[in-house]
Amino acid sequence: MGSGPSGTYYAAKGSYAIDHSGLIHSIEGNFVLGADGRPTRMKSGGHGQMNLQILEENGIRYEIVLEYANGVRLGNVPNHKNRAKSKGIGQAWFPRSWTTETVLDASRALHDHFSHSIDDMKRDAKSEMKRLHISDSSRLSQQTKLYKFRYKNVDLQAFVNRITGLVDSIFPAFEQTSSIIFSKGE
Amino acid sequence: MTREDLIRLIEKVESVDSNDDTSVQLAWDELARGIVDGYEVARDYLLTQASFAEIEAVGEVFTDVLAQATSAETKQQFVQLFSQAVERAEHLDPNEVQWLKDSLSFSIKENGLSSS
Repeated sequence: MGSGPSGTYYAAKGSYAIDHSGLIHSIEGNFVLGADGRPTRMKSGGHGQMNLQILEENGIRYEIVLEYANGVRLGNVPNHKNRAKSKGIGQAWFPRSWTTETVLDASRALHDHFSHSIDDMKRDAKSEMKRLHISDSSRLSQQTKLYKFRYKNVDLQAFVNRITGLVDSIFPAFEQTSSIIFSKGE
Repeated sequence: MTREDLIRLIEKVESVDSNDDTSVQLAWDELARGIVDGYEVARDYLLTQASFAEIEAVGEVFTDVLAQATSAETKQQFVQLFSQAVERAEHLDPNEVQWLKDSLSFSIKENGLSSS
């Protein structure tokens, strides 16, 4: 169990695919907090509708630049700590209708589809640590592996942790097979 | 830390996939630690040779560097260094400097410091 900035509790129910910190990260996002404990600036993640609600509640500006017919939205958060997400279409959001359960199901679908690859990836990471005589996984050449897949008509990407095999971050791909229904400036 | 070390750490921040948050965070942590440990190397590079993109990469870790610096005096020293680096960046690319300025002012605010 865990609590994100919104105060919502997520239960990953001992999921083999993603834990609560991965869900909070992916849905609400991680924030820099002010002295009063309120979010002042986005740091990472934050691809759910709840993220947009947190931004609005805390007066953090964002811009939706493009929307696909499947509901995926792209845009930016100008004061984002990660400069790539501060302009243009650096940030992606799931369709409005996607709930915590949808993201959890998508993570499970990823794991079910790529289970052999994920097992191999974990084995490779352990071998690499043994070969390099390291006990700290942060010293691995790569911490995560990128997986691309499609779920409920949405093209998704997920970074899966090489050690735990859990989804660190899941988000909509920037290029969707769905058509564009809104683009700022057009 | 040598100049080559600093360049390598900046390159890591610049090259990591911006959506791979785990790797981004690790690269930020490494760069911030490097800058805290190598103030003089960072100062010389940022104020003379660093490109606009390199100063921008350092901009992502302003707040971490200020948080990691141990004394109030060191924190202010870094504020002065980063302010000068942002000024230099403005000369390098006046159109793209706003995020960098905002990042500096947020970092100063987040760390409870003054901009002077």
